[in-house]
Amino acid sequence: MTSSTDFFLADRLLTDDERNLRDHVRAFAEEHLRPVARDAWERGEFPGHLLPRLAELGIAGGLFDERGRQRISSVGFGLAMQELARVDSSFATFVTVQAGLVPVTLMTCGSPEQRERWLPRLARCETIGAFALTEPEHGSDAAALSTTARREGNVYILDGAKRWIGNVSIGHLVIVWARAEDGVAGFLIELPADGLRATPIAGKLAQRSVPQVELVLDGCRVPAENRLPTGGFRAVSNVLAQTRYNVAWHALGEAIACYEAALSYAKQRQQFGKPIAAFQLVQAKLVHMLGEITKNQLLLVQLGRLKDAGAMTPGMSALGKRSATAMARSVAMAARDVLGGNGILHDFDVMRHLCDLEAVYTYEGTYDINTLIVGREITGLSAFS
Amino acid sequence: MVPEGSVQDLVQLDALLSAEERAVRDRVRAFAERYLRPLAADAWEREAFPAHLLPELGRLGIVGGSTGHPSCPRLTSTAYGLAAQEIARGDSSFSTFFGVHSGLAMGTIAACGSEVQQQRWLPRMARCEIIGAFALTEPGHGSDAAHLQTRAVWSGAHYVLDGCKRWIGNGDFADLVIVWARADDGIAGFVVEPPTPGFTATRIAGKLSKRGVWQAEIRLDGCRVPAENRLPRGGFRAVAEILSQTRHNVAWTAVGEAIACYEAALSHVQRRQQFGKPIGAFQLVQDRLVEMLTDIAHAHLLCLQLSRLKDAGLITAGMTAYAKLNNAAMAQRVARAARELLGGNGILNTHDVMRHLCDLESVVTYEGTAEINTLIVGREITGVSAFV
Repeated sequence: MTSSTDFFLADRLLTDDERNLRDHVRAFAEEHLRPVARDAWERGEFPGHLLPRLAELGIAGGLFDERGRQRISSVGFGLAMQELARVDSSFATFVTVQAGLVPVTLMTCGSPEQRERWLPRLARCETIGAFALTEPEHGSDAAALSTTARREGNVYILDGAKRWIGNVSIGHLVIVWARAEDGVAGFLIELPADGLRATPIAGKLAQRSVPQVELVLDGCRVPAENRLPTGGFRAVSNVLAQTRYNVAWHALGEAIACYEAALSYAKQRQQFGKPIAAFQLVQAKLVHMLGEITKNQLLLVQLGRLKDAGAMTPGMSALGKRSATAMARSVAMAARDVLGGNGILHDFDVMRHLCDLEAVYTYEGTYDINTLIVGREITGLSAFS
Repeated sequence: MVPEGSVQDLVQLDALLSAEERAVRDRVRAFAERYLRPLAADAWEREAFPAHLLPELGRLGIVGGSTGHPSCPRLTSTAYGLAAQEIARGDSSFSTFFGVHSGLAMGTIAACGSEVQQQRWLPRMARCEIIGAFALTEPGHGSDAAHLQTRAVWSGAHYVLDGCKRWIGNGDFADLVIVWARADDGIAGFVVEPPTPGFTATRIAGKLSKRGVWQAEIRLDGCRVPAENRLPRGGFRAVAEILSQTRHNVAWTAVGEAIACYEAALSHVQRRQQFGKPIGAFQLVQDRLVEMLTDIAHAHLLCLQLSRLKDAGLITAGMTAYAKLNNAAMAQRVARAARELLGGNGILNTHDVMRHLCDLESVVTYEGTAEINTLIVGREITGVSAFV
């Protein structure tokens, strides 16, 4: 939240720690991320040199330390996501995986030993983590995943294919979800690994500077102790319910960036002898944008408080993700519109956000899937298939 | 499986077209499928304009088809619109090139030029031997182009042009650029033939939309233009009339892009299996497809009626403004819905939809933003201008 977008003074709902973390992350994003974001997008290159600085921010290992103590509130972490995404959606997606999906999975499904081994390294960015659930033929119906894990003595043998897996090409650890004889389970695979081949996905027109790959597992051997003890698709759903909350803040950050760019442009740009911000149609757009941002800010602060109180349901986080990503998409469009022809250039960042939000809108549950998660919760009836 | 051409078939649009109109559409569609679509993703990624296709385009019999000049193909407005639709369906960037050269540049020479000027330029332009550009927009004057600052001063022997233009399609490689400038006796168009001293065009870099067509920032610094290159008919009213004509074409191109997105989405949902069946079997997906197709059918009929009215001389500025406004917004919605139906793979250039989604951001803005077109319609229905 910033002064120009905090219309309902949501700042007052934050603790000092949360405000400090937000300001700290914002300073990092402005100082280090902003100067490289456009060029990284254009060239499709990940700014890996920023990882030591990311580690210094204290968010890279997620909310909990290896002993299970909560170091950062959910609202604080959400604000950190917001500030990263406000400047660079691709980098924020990297963090969503590194500090979200991977540590949340370790906390939710891992053993104490696995947490102790990996969480501190993730926090220091010594280990870059990845999370491999989606398959070429199983996106929305990930529960039907067809990657298999066959036990042979003290190892599991994994076979199958995964797609859209972020961070693998720069990563050291990938959590692969596979179907074992006793159900769906996560396996920690250290990279590089024999029998695991990663091919970068080329030709992206969204989030170009975060690398994603297609993974092929061909007789990949994983020691039995690298299996996460808590499994089943319910565990996966539980992980995603938590991380969708982060994605919602991510979307909010991008909406804020777009609104700020549009507001500042509308006040400067003169047409017909006055700033375009003085025109009724432009004011209507700005008010629509700010109104949407304000509602979602309040929704996400409330969601974060419920999450830390253990009262957040999967339907709530699905509603938050659905609401915030659809909102950000509509705000980016309105902002691009206010910027006129110049809005299609990199110069104002809005067009980049508009493209990047297409990925955010789809990943961690498409709009429709999140609709059906909420729908099931309010009707008691599943309509997925 | 729904057959090819299903979009037209839903409202039996085909039955409303003449045989000649259908023939033009099919000819241009074949060109677009053969030459444009296979190149479009790569051209976009590399910001490359496929100039090698110009001779082939010249042979299609559509360039200058809305001018009515004897040296150009004579097409009904509907046929010309269908041609624009099919080009845009294959490649939005190339369609902008076509719109600038055939619509804005040739249209201006036809509407504002003398017979001598028309004979001098239009025949070669129709064959794409020389390429035109149209320079109206300035860095400080986009929507309020009527207040343009570029000046044309008569020196006794020629006009001297000074000023700056921006977002000029084809501007850095065109053989002739129609520059709108303020002369002592009002706004007028001047045909500048680069290379010529005092004329500098710099390609605009860093675009995330229509990367396969080039736009330039143009600097005019004491650029001399012979008297015979001034177009005799001027005034902002003439400019407004040209834009009203070309908005008709933009409305058709938006339909073409929407059709491309709808077709990509339809074919994807029929093949993509999730939860044990094609996603096209889900209610939420069918709802989106029906919305998209309804939107396209509305826009198509709007365009068709608009073109018939245009040929009957009954078109008003408000009508073309409305069609452009409606269809650009429609295409934007359809592209977003299609991108969504394609799931994660929808962000890849190879599926075309994300590229159309990006390209449509230009279509929504150029030749009158949504706001400007709203106010053109608003003025026509209320009788009161609210621009300022």
